[in-house]
Amino acid sequence: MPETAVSDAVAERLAAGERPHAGVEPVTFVIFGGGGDLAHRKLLPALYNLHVDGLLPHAFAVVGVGRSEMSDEAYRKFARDGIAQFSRRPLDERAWGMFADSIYFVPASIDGDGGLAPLGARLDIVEHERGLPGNRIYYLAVPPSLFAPTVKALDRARFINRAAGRPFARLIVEKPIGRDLDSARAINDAIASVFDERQIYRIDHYLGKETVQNILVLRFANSIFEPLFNEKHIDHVQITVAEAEGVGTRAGYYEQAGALRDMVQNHMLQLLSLVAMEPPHSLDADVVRDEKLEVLQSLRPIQGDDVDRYVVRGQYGPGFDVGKRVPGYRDEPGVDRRSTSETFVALQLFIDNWRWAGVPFFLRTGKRLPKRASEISMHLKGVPPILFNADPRNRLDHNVLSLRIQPDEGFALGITSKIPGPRVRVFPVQMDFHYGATFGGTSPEAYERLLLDVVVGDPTLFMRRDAVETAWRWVMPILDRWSSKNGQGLATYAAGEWGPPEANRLIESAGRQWRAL
Amino acid sequence: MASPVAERLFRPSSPETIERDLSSLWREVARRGPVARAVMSNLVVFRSVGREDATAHSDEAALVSEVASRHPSRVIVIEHQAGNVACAPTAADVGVITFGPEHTRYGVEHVLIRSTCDTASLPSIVRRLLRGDLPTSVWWIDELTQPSGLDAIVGAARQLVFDSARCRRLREAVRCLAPLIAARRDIADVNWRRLAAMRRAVVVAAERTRGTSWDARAVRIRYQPSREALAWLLAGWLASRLEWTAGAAPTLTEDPEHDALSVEIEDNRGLINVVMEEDRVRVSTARETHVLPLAIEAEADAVAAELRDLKHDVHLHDALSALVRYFAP
Repeated sequence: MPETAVSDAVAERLAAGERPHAGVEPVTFVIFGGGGDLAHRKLLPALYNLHVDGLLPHAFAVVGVGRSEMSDEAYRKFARDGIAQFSRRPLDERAWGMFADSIYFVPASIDGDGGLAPLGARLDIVEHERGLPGNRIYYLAVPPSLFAPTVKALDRARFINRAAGRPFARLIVEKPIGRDLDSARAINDAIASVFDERQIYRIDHYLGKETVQNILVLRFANSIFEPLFNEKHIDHVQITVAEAEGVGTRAGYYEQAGALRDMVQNHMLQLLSLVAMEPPHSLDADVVRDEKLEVLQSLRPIQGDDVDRYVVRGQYGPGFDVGKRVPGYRDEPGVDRRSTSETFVALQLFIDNWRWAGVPFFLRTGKRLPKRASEISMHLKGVPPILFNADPRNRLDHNVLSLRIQPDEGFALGITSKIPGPRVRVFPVQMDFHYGATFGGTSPEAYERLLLDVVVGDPTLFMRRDAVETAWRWVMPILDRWSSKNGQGLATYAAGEWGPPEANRLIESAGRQWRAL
Repeated sequence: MASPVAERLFRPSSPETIERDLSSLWREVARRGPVARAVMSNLVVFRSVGREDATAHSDEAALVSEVASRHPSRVIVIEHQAGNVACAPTAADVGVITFGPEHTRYGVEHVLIRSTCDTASLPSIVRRLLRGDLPTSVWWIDELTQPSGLDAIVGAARQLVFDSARCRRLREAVRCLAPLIAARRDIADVNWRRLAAMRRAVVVAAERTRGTSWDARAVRIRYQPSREALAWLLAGWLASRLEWTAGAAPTLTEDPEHDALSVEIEDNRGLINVVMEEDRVRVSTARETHVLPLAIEAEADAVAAELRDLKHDVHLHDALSALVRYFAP
């Protein structure tokens, strides 16, 4: 038997039963905007934790790119500072030492003299020194206005070879992908002129959260829930993404975006599609993403007068945050005193397909709400008005399956139980699952999971172009209606309240109530 | 249902670190032995400070613990000294009280907040601490006075529990409740439970005499001073059930010499006398006398029973509505 075949047979026998290393291919992470907030707070800590968990390839490099003249040492200090502050685990000196050796910084500008040539030269040196084959992941941690120019600069510098499978080149971009359908298409076209769709990973970091990934497991790894997820059994669904903070330092972005663009068009529609999708026939990325796309394509358009009826936009005014007085949105630094950007959106939508016909879905999101909480709740239909539900003045609570996205990740099923005692009295109770209490430890951060998936080439948790543009197509009539009204119809709510009264009326007019979080 | 206190573990905390400190405390409790974390509701207990009665404070704290042992809740105690500026709580403590024998021990978590803010900002403190998924009850352990912040705090809750027996200024208390009554909020008065036997006795009297109508002017209620609220609740109940108008009120007489609560009704068949004493209710008509037993219920049991009953008590609501009309300025 030839030597190679003997070696393969031994390796095969030894490898049997061993968990394959997730990040088997050595890779270079190139972070454009490497000196920015996203890299500092999320990306570098995520890469560090992947390294600590042994999930990164045995050989890798992290190269930050930015305009500032930073040395490698200075960038390592920057990274260390971010890890110390924002990592879910305390920094371990030994692990840090090994990780730090892989970090570099290249001052470069896409529109500077020579373009990205200095970056190319440095990458060649780093990869040669570290024995890296040239697989690269380009992360555009830059404003969306720089996506197209950066990608074109990569193309001009001949960094990307679409045809070749190896070494691979992958591109990560963050939402928002555009601020409307036209700009989203323009960005996607610009990226597509350089990268193949298979090479593009559009991040919605919500999809990396454990609890969001658990939606599919909950639905399709258990037999008890899926038979109920349809119009026969579900009365309505609520999805809430609530933030307690104000706009903070993001006024510049938020003034242009607003809650609909910032949260609904991406995160919330992604959550909706996971909850409402049909069971996929496999867990292949495109099969799953096809089913999610179906949900978006089945959304009933909200346009014209229906926007006024089914969508509420609000803006927070002065109020309170845990007792302390806080300013209204228009008094925040960087915000136009006449701003009509919405910090709150509530809407009622319908999915016109066989499964969900007639079931209202209520979405709400906002800043300066009473607490930070993200949750999906499936409200089942009530029991018949007999037996324990016979009193028309005191109807039983409906069963509710609530998926807590954050904080206190987990899920709960609200049911009615008898109170111990000689008489039959009932009380709503919770069958409750908490990630932390069950599995212990801390869950990986969303970015850790997402970055790892890019390393192994699994696009399941990333948004495909068609989904991004379908979501934009659906929200455009709402944005157009608001634009035509020139700021009229903007409701106000005090900071610390659960939104404007109009949001309550929206759901109450449908005979339901917002869930207390 | 009551279980003895096994252990109290309290730690200073801060408004920003309450959840983290509670988690840490639970871990500490768990290290001492198996314990189940029991929680049926959010229970917001509101009491104002400034009343310098240390004994009362201690008694109330003990009462809250006893209620929590019977109706396990996330207990959020707001100790409030009314101020006129919005500000964060001045201090916070977290605690876990465990109950029961070792093999069936359960624990209940407490959050104690000390605040000096104005009433407008109080709800923002409470809302942050509530656990979603759980029904929220507000237990107003304090005197109901205005301005109280009651509306704003109860807005977040499913139920308001209070005890009108603690109200020294009953009319003011009823006026405080008026907006909640008008909005048909779920209100539970512990004192209403104490009237149950009396109401049953009056029903028995009506059944026995087969009276066709009772005029408000023919009803006289006499009460010892400590039972003023009970007397008015009785009047409100009669008024609402018998549809007396606001101008047709029974006669209520406070009588320090009278060691009971009694109602005398003159109808076309004679005089009916119903007297609620310490341990019984006697119903006397022209022809017969009945005695109904009076269940003695500890305050903690009564409060816990109300917390477990999320049904909207329509009859109490109607009785309170009648009092709102009687006490309208």
